[in-house]
Amino acid sequence: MAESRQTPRIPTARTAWNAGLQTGTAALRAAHVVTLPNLTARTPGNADPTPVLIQSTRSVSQPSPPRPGAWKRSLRLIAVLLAIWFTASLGLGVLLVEPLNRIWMGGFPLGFWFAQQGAILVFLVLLVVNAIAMDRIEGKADRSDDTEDPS
Amino acid sequence: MSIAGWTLVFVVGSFALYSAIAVASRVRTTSGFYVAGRGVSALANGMATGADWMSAASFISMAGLISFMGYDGAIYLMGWTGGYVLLALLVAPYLRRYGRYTIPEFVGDRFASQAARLTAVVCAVFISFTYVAGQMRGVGVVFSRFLTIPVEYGVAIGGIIVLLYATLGGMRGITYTQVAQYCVLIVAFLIPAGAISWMMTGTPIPQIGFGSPLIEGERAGVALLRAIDQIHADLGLPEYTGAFLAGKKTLPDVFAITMALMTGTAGLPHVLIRFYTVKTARLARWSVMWALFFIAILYTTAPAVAAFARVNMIQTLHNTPFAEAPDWFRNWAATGLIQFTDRNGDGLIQYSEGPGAELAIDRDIMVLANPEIAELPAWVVGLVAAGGLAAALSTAAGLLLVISASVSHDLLKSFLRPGMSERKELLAARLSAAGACVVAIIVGIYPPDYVAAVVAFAFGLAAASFFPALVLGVFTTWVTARGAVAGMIAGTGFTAVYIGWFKVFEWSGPEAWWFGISPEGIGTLGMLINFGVTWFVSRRTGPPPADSAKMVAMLRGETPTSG
Repeated sequence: MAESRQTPRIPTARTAWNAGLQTGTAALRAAHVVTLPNLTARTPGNADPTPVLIQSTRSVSQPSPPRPGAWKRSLRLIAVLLAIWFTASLGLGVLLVEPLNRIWMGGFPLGFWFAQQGAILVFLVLLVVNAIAMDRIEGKADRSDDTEDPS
Repeated sequence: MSIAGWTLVFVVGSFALYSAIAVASRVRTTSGFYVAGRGVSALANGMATGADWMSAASFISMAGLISFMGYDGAIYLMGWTGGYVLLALLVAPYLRRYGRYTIPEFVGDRFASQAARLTAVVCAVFISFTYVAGQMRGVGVVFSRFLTIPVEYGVAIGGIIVLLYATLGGMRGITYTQVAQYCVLIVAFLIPAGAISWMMTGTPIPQIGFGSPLIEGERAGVALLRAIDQIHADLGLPEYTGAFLAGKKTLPDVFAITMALMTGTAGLPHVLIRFYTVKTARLARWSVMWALFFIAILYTTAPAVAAFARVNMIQTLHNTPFAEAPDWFRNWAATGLIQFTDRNGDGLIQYSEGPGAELAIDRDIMVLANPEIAELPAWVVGLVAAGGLAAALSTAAGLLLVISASVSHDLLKSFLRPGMSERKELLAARLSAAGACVVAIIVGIYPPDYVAAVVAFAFGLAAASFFPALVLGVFTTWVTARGAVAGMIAGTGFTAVYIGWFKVFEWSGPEAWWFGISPEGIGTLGMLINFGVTWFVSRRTGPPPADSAKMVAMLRGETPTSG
């Protein structure tokens, strides 16, 4: 039942950290499995009934992929980070700029600040979180890349 | 020493530095030429990407444009940085895991289709030539303004420097000159910006000064942005910080342009190839982060500079007798970039906008005139000139490499002369880089009228062609070769026709825009059309060959990278 509580979570900065940083706990593993169909539903491919994203790659991947489940976890991370990306820029900086501009803080109308300063800072934080979280998710899988033939 | 003297010192000095780096980093292999031997560190790659990305437009024009656009300037600020989030999450690490050398090569291999590769080559070359013409022109303009050298000579000198390091050092030479160019351009941008912030708000950090009260003038003690809004109200102009007001862009247009610039950024070949130059997918991810870090330094400063320039310009000029106007005003008036017509004959300068305005101000001078407005010493002006050149040359070099690799690797090696030896391919790459450079110099000297009009095209095209192909290539397995080709052709075709109709030929006015979206933002619709057509055609022509699923698994890191 832990799964059903976790599923409808709204993506927040906190879930981004959770998805990336608290890897490995049993509860989160379960959550990943349950949220997966939602993720695939968002990709355009789902309209086509035959190939389902994950299974099809699973079936052709080699017997022992570098890190089982890493792709699912990265998809989840990507979805959360993209939601924040959209909210901070096109959401607060464009769609909601008019109401937010009525609030002045620290010498800025808030909507204007997001559009010309805040969104860029949020983007930067997202990329730092992404790089750290993906390092954790891929773990050794990608370190093996480090020794790959550089050509 | 005079301004021209200092400019000469900085320009010659920086050119000597770039040439020295070119000679030190010359290459002898195709891997070195195309991808710098994949030995670039994430930090250096981030810095090089920053210089690669920030063109003459970012350095010289952007702050001035924002200064006249107010809130609307956010389309550039968010559009040209938000694309890096898409790059890091959806594209760069997967491209790197694929390996190889070019973007058309990825598209061709992923969809197992030479037609897809050829379509991608045409898009890549077209996008890059569009873009490079503007850069060479920027070089010429800086030369003519600061050194009073004719534009043609300026373009030729800049072009020869690029020719030298692009042909000798390929990607390796370009990468390390771009690192140096980033340092030059960011210092040149920040020194005057800090000085102006200090002068107007008492803090040397422009991002903080942006939200601080003014310390002098009739509105001392009023927050900078409130002061601008009050000034605009007094002059009857729309609020600077306000969105979607009369005379400004509409909500759907701001949304579409921002989206098109973001997705276009994530599909521009000269940016994408930079992520081939690091050793692993992981380092590609970190280099996007560093790239955005280095870009954000300039992009968070520019809107502050825009606001300072706005107050400064109106406060010092409005209702000032022409005879008492500051020196910088008269200096720039002498170049014709500021034009004053005393329409009501009262001897005073009245600031207003639209027809009947007494002042006509070229947007580009806001950054170039900054050091003079802030009364900085002559050497700062020279540094700004060198910074403008660094921004233009670094971007031009990255674009030339895309063109060169498209010709030598994607056309010659893959279609016309498959048996070519590596030595011959390298020679072909150098020759096509040189050829592209000569074409760029000629286009820079004799710019076609539509250069400004087609800059929007580069982004629209990248958004409507590469972005969907790359994202679908990594995140789905159902796209067929025909689907991908049809999607790219439909997306770019639609975007091209729309921009041609409304911007190049101007067959209809803005009232006929679809959903109120201007040609600058139409790439967003082109991208959606690409996604839709790819899906529809793939459904009819599927399923894709079994091999493609293997490649997708490799891209996602589910199977070890193969050779």
